Amino acid sequence: MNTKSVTRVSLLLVATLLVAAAPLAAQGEDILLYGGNQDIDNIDPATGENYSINAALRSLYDALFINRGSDVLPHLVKDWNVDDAATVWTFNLHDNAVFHDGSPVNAEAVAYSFNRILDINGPPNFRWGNIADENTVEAVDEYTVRFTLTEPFAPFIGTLTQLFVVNPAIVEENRVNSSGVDDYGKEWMQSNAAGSGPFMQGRWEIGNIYEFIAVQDYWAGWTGEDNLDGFFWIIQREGSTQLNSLLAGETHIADTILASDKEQVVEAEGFFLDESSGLFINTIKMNNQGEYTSNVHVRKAIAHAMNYPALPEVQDVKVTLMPGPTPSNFPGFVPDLDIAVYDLDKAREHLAMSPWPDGGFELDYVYVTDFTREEIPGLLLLEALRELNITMNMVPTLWPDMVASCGDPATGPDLINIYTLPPFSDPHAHLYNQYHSDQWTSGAGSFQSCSFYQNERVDELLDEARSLGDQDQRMELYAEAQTLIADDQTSIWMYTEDSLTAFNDCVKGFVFSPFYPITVLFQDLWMDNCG
Amino acid sequence: MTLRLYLARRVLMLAPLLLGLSLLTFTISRLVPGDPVGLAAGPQASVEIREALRVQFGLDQPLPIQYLNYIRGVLQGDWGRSLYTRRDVIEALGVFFPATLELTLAAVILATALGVPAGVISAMYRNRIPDHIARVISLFFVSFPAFWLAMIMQTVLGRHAGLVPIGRRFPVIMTPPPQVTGLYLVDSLLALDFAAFSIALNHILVPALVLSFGALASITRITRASMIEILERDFVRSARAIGIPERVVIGKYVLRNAFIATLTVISLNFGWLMAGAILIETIFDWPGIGLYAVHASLSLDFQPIMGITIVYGVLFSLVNILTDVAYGILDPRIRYG
Repeated sequence: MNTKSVTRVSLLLVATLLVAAAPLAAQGEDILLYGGNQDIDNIDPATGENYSINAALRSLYDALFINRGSDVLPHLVKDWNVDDAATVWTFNLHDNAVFHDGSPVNAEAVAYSFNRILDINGPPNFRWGNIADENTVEAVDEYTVRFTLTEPFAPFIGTLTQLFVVNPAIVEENRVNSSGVDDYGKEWMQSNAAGSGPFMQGRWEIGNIYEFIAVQDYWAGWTGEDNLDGFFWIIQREGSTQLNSLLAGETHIADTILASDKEQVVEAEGFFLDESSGLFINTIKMNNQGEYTSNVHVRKAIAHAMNYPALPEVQDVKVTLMPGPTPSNFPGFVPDLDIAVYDLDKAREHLAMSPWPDGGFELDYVYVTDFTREEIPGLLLLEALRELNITMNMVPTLWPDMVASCGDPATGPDLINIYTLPPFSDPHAHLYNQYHSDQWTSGAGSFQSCSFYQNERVDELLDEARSLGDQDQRMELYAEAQTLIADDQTSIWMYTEDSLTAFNDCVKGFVFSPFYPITVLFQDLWMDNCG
Repeated sequence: MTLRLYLARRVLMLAPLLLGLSLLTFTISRLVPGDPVGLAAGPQASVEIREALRVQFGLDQPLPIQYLNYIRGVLQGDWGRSLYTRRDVIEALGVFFPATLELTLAAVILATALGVPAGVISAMYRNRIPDHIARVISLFFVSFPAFWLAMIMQTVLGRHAGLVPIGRRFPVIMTPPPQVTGLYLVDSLLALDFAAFSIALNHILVPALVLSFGALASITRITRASMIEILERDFVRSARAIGIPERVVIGKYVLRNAFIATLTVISLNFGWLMAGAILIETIFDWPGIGLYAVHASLSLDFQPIMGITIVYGVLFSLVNILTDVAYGILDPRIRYG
C-alpha cells in the first residue's frame, strides 16, 4: 500500500467515525433513555427486591395499590373494606384490567400471585410471611378478593404496592425450569414478564440495557398529557458518565448525580435537577448489648459528641438532619423529641454518670470499605471522642461481613454505620425491623436491627400498633415508642440523604416519591420536543 | 519435541492447573468471613427464608461435598448460579466475556501498533529528539492514572467535541450486529455490515486507546531497549557493511530479534489489561466481565467468582501457550520442551 492509499483509507476511516459519532435520536418516537446506576437483575415479583427491580416491576406489572408522590393510591383495586380487627381485608377489583395477552386480571390471578410469593418464600415475602399462610387469600368472586390474615396487621395496604399480579396461565406454562425441576416458574420469570403493566419487555440485554415498550391502550390509561412510547434502562454505574451522557444528549435522565456535579446540571441550558428530601436514612447504630455501649449514659455521651451541624457541610450529597428516630417527611414522625445535640459538655456529664467517668476504653466504628459517606461521620466522632478519652478505631469492612456481624450481639460492632429505607409508607415499616427485639433475638438479626435494642414496653407498643385498625390510636402508640427509643438513645440518628436526579427539560410529568427516591414512575412521564 | 507434541503436553497440563486454581479459589471464597446468603436474602428476610436460600444453593452441605458438586456441575456445563442475581454463571460469562475480550484485544493491538514503531524510532534515534519525545510520552502514559485520562477524554472528545460517544459498545436505540463471536467488530464484518462496523469502531476507539496507554508505554520502552541491544551486535554491523538497505536491516534482522522481549511484554500486558479493564469498563459503561467480577467479589457471590477465575485461568494459559509458540516462529533456534 503506498502513501496515497494509506492517506485515503485514513480519511475514509475518520469520516466514517465522525458520521458514526453523530448524536442519535429515536426516529419519531418518544423513547426515553434513562441512565440507571444499578442493574435490573431479576423481574420476578416473588424473588426480586431492590430499587431498580422495583422500577421494572412497577412498569411491567400492576399492583393492588400504587405509590404516587407521598400517597398510597388504589390501582387494581376499586374499593375495599376491613374488619375492626384489621385482619379480614376485602378488595373489589377493576373489571377492565387485562394482562398483556388480553386475559383478565381477576381475583384468581391476585390469589395466585400472593400464594406464589408465600410458597417461594423469597426476599419479597418479608412483608407477608409472618401474617399470612396458604389459607389467607381467597377469590370470593371474579373481581373480589379477600385476605384473612393470621394476625391483625393494620399497615397491610402499604405492603400491597408490592403485590404485583402475575398472569397465572403464563407462569404455569413455564413452571418447570431448564433442568426439568418444578420451580414455580422462578427461572423463567427472572428475565421474562407475565404482567399487565403499562410497559412490555423489549430488548433485554443482561448487565447492559433493558427496553420497555409502552402498551398504548393500557387499561388504566395514562395520567399525563401524553405518554412515552417506551424507555431504555441503561446501566451507568459511574456518576461522571451519567452526567456526561445527560449533557451530551445521550440520555434524558440520570439517576445518581454526584453533589459535586450538580452545579454543572443547574448551569447547563435545557436541563433541570430535582433535589428532594428522600428517605435514605443514615444512622450509627450502637450495640445496646455491647460491653460499654449497653450503658445508656455512654450511648448518650457518644450521641452528644457527634457534630451534627458539620454533617451537611462535609458530606458530598445534600442531607437533611434527622430530628429523631423518624424523618420528618415520614408517617408517624414525632416533633419535639428530646434528642441529643452536639454538646461536648453534656457528653462529659453523661460519661461521668457511667461506670467509666474518665473514659479510657476503646470502641470500634464499622463502615463499608471505601464508602466515604460512611467514613466521614466516623471521623467526626473519632475527633470528638478523643476529647472524652475514648479511643475509636475506624474499621472499614466489606458489606457481607457487616451483615454477618449483625446476626448476633456478640459479634455486633460497638458502632456501625447503616443506611436504611422504609419499604412502605407506615411507621411499622420503619420502626419494627429496627427496634423490636424479635428482629434479633430470634437469631436472624439483620443490619437494620444491629443496635440489638431490647425494651419490653417498646416491643408491646410496636406489637399493639401494628394490630390496631384505628390510625389515630396507632400513631399515639408509635409516638410513645419513639419517645422511649429516643430516651434510650439506641442509635445516633444523623440524616436523610436528598435525592439528586437530573433531567433533560423535555421530560415532563415527574413527581418525586420518597418511596422510590432514586428512580421515577415511568408511566407518568412524557416527552415534549426531545428532538 | 515437535510443536504438536509440545502443544498437546501444555494443553494436558491445563487440567491440573485449573483444578488447583479452582480448589484454591473455592477454599478462599468459602473461608473468608461474611454472610452472602444474608445479603442476597435481603435485610428483612426471616431465618426460614435465609435457610431456604442456603439449601437451594447447596451451602448447607459440607465444604468438600460442595466442591465436588461444583466440579461435577462444571464438567456437565452447569457453572452454578449467582446467589445475588440468580442468573446462570455460564450465561452471564457468555454475555460479559466477549465485551472484555474485544476491548482487551483492541487495546493490545493499539498498544502494539503504536508502541513497537515508537520503540523502533526511539532506538534508531537514540538520545536524539524523537527518542526524547517518545520517552516523555511513555512516561506520561505510565504516570497518569487510566481512569483520569478516561474521564478527561470522555468529557473533551465525547461531551464537548461530540466526536465519540460517551460510552457503551453500540448505540442503545440501534440493534447490534447478529451475534457470532460476541465481538461486535468481528460480527459486523462477518455480516458485511460496514455501517455497524464503523459504529462499533467509533465506540471502542477511546476506551481501547485509554486502556492501551500503560501497555503502550511498556512496549515502547522494552522495544527500544531490545533494539538498542541488538543494534550493537556484530551481525548488524556486518549486514550494514555488505550494503543491505537500512530498512531491511531494521525490519528483518534487528526488529525480529528484538521482538522476542517485546512479545513477552505484550503477552504479560494482555493479562494485566484484561484485569485492569474494570475501571475503563465502569467509566465507559462497557458491559464486560470486570464489572461482573467486582460485583461478585464485593458480595462474596461464590459461583461467579469461581467461574470468572476459571475463565481467566484458561485465557492466561492459552495466551502463554500462544506466546511460547510465537517464540519458536520468531527464532527457529528456540526448541520446545
